[in-house]
Amino acid sequence: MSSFWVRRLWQSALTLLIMLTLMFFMFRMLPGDPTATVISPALYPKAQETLRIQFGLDKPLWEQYLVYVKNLAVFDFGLSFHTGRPVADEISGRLLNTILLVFPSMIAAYALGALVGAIVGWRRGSKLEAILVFLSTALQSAPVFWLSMLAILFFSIRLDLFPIGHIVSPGMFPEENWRMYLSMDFLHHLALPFLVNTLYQFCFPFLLMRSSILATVGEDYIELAKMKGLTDRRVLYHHAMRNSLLPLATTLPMTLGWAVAGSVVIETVFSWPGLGLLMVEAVGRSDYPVVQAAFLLIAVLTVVGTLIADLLYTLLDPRIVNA
Amino acid sequence: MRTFLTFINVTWKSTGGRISLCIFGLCLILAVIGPMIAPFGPSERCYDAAGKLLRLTPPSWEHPLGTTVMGRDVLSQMLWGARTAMLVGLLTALGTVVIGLNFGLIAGYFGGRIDAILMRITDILLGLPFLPFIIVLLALTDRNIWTIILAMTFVMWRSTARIVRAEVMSLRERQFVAAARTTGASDADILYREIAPNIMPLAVTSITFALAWAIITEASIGFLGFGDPDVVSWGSIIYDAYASQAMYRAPWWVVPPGIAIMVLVTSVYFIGRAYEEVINPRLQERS
Amino acid sequence: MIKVDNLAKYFYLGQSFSEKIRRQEPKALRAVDGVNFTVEAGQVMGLVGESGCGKSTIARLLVGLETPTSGDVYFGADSAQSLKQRDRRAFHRRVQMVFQDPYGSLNPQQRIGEIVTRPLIYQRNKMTDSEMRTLAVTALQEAGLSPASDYLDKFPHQLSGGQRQRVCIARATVLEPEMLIADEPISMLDVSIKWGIIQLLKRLVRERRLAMVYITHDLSSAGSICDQLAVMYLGNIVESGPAQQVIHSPQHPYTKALLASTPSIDPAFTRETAQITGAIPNPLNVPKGCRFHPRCPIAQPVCATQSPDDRGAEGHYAACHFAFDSQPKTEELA
Repeated sequence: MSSFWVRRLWQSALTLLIMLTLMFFMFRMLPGDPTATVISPALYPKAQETLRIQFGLDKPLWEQYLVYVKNLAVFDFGLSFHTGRPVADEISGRLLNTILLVFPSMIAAYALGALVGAIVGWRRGSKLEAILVFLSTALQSAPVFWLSMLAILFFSIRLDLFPIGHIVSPGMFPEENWRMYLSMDFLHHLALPFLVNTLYQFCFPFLLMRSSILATVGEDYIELAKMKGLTDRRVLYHHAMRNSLLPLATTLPMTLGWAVAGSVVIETVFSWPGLGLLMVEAVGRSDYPVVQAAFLLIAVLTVVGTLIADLLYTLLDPRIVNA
Repeated sequence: MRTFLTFINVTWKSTGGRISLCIFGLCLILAVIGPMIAPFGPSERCYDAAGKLLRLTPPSWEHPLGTTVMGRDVLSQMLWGARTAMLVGLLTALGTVVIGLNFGLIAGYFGGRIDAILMRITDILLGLPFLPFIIVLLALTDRNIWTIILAMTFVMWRSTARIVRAEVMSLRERQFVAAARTTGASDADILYREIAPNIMPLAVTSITFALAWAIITEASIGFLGFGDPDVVSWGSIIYDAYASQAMYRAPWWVVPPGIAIMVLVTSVYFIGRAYEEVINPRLQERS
Repeated sequence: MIKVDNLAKYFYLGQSFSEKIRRQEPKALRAVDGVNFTVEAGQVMGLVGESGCGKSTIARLLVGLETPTSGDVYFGADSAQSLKQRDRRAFHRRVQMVFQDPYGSLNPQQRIGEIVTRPLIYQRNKMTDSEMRTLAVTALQEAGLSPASDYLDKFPHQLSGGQRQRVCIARATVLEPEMLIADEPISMLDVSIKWGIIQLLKRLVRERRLAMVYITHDLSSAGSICDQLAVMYLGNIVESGPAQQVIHSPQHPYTKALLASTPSIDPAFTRETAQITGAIPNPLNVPKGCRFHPRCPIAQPVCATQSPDDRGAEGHYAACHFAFDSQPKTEELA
């Protein structure tokens, strides 16, 4: 393991530590007192005291912090204010749901964006190019929740092709086990949010690939490949695209982070039971342990996603293998 | 001022840039005068001649974009929303660029420990999930338009700082910096009088990105129901439609704010791109 | 009179972790290693040497872009180091520099008028705009850009290389310095305009009683501008003296080799040829004894052990064990 990876891992761990510290203090320092929602001032002082001890709020702040970090290390996020059940139970499964919604559509967006971007950049100046550039920018400029609503309006309500929301049909899988994810019903529910997210994320990789292909046209190695008599298609796929994939890969960590954070919106419109929807609902119910846990898991997903994308990048670029 | 005029001049050169500038200018004018020309107040309830509340009426002469479930005039709400979008977008973009530019300049120019610390901060901010963070922040404080602007600025300066820093690191090695130093220029002179003007093209691109992002993010916050309850924004109009379950029955209510956001943000993106295409020779056509 | 006194600059290289643990002395790159010379007002001192000999580091030391490891520069009685600490701006006012690259040393975002007035602003002179403008116009016209009004509002990219170098000269002279450092000011210009820049620099030196240090790698052309010459090798001056003497009767074998490598226009003029072989040694690992001995055609055993002192008289010195010896030595070799 090279020192680059040691540093990179250490950096990610530090980021997460600072983030959970930030969360801890934000929840305790900011004006809205979360405990007020569970320990009602209307209760008898005696009862208030008991609850305070039960939630560990009687101890000094630093001690609370240590307990908080220690508990997080064993995935103990405390009890939900709303249901009284352990938060860990509430959010298990939610993480996977978010991953299944975000990652496949990101991969699809990048694959599609790279391919279309390369073809359009190679044949620059075509009508198709102008139309695609405009359309993809417009798609990216529209709020994704609004696009989702239009998609639901058209595909689900007018054409009745897809269900309106949720991850499976109600009552199909009461115990929510792994069988659910293998069913056609699940894929049917996934299709529309997947499609919207893919189209929404398409613009960035598409434009980047297009401009980096444009930059390779006229480079010596491309001219040489053409002179060797290779077919146009071969020059594009084997020579131009290979080099243009790198800048695309550099941006993946960043956009993956955006996509995970942005899933809050898409999950809300499609009632998709992921972390984002959970968080929004929990905020609405002032269920702060759940909000904290959901936020931290989204942050973990962002940081880990970035790390994976970085790993991918080092695999793609032969120059930094031993750097 | 000179930078601004050059910017308009450069952007005006392409057709896309020209159209986008016109759209953006129109939105800017609407943001200023919109509330004055709006026929109704943003939360004013409208009644018909018989005194009945106009719930979900389709577009008519009286209400060109129809009314909401609460009997409010959609067109008037749209006009008020333009002001919110522009205010949030411009202030956030300005804050982002001012902070990001300064951090980037200082980190890139001085290097060493200052650079290491500043870059670690941006690293951490890059790992921070943008929208969820703002939602948590808004949930814990009051839902206020200024909090939204501050929170967005707090997170968004990170990218600008990184881009600017990389550019400064290459600029500070140029000979004109050494030349300025030998004439007695201080570090501040060099940073703000010699290097900063060379960063301006980058800053402009960065402003357009921040502007676009801020408008979309503010709309998303509004849609999730965390917007300022006293301020109408295009996002909150869609949220009202969504929350009232009437969105699929009343397209006149949902479609206009979405289109407004889309058109405004698209124009912002195209302005940035038109400018960049002239400034950045790499994107220009090779013969 | 400007006096350079035992000036030295070592660059210390970053250490690896294991080196730090073993507390090894950091490796020093001796870019400039104890250099002495003086420049009189109204005179041009030429510093000549191959790239990597330390001449550009001297330029950066003289204008204060680097701080010397030891030694100092004196303007009359004032020490540059103490002056720089006391009043950095006043120090910069006294020494100005013309850089090698007229493309990179002008800020592309500034108009010519701004470029030439900026030094006045940076000096916090509290002048009015019109006062500064007058000074800038004078400096530009003196640098041969007249009428200056044609140039004030232009950007650097609208000018030719020679014009840009004139702008650089105007920027340097607008502060009315005592000393001007010119670091290869013509090496990046077209042949046809080099001469004009040389003439301009010579005129400025004469008229303004400037002390100029002219840095170049081209020994033969240095004769046409310099009054004094100093030849540098690996951070040391190996030979110095009146320019004509150094060029026409070189004493150090390195000077001879440099002269041999440059073609002469005059076919009747032939120099003794001396071949040097090998590359410049690694400046991190300077040879013992005479620094030049591994490449020297006349090296003797003593050269490898003993570092030569300056030999010579009447202002012409060479740091070689065999300099100013009677002819037999060289004939012996031939």
